[in-house]
Amino acid sequence: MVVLRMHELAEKKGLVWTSISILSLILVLLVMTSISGGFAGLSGSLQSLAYAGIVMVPLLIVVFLAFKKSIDTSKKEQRVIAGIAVSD
Amino acid sequence: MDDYSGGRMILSPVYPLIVEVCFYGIFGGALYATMQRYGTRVSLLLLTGATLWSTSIENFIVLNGGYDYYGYATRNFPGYMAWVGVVPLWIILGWFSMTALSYILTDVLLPGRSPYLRSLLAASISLNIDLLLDPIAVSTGLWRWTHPSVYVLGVPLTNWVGWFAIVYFFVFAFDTMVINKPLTRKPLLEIRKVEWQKMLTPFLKRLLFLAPIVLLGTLAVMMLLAPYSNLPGPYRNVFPAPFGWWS
Repeated sequence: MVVLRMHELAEKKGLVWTSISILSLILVLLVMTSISGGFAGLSGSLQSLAYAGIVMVPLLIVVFLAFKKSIDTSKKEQRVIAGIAVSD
Repeated sequence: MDDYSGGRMILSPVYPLIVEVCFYGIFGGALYATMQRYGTRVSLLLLTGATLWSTSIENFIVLNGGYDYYGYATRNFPGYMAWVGVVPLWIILGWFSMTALSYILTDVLLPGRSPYLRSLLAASISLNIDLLLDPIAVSTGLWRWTHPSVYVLGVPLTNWVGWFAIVYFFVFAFDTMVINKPLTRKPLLEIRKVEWQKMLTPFLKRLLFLAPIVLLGTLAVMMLLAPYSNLPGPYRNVFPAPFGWWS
C-alpha cells in the first residue's frame, strides 16, 4: 500500500522529537507521582513509584523498537542503493 | 501539602498551573514532531480533528456528571488558566499530544498495515500512558471522577474502556480518511501540496459518525459496571447526571 510519506530525514526528525516528547512526559509523570503522596489503593509513594516504573516499561520498549526499526530500514535502503550502484 | 479533602490530596494551587504549563510544553514537542513527519497541512488536519473530537466528547461527559476539573477551583479562580467550555485547554492539547505521539510510533512500527491493527496499537500505547496519568491526576485532585463504577487505583474502569475507544476510533478515522486517502497518495515530497481543506470535511464527517458509537458504547459499559460500584456515593457531581441517575 502506498502511504503518506515525507522526506526520510524529516521522518527521522519526527521520530526523534516524538521520543523527546514522550521522555519529557514520562519525566513529568514520575515527578508528579513522587509528590502525589501515593495512589488510592497503594500504600505510600514508594509503591506508587514502583507502579509508575512498571507501567512505563512497555512504553519505553515501544520507543526503543521504533528507533531500532527506523535504523534497520535505513540500513536496508542504503544496501539497496549500494547494490544498484554496483550493478550499474 | 496544604489540605486533604474528599479522599484526594490537594496540593498548593501552584501545582495545577505547573502541570498545565508542562503539558503546553509537551504539546509543543508533539506538534513539532507531527509537523516534521507529516508536514504542516496534515498536522493541521490532525490538530483540528483531535481538538474538535476531544473538546466535544470531554465537555459532553463533564456536563453529564461523569467527572469534573474543579478540584482546585476557588471563588476567584477556576484552578487552571485556560478553558474550552468546562474542560481545561491543557486536557484538550494533552489528548492531541498523546494521540499524535502514539500514532507516529505506530506509523513507524506498522507501516502500510491494516488501519484496524494500526488503530489498535496506537490506542494501546495511549492507554499505556493513561494507566499512569489517571491515578496521578486522581490522587492529586487534577480531576475528580463522580460516577458509580468499579474503581481501580481511584480510577473507574469506565475511563480506561472509554479512553481506549476514543483513541481507537479517532486514529481509525485519521488513518483511513487522511493518511491512506487517495488524495495524499503522492510521491515523496509532494505531500506539501496536499489540499487539506478538501480532506477536512470527509475526515470530520467520519468523526461525527463515530462519536455516538464511542459515547453510547462507553455509556453501556458504565451502566454495566454501576451495580458493582466499589465507591459509595454521594458523588457530588457539579453537573447533574442525566435523569438524576446518580449524585
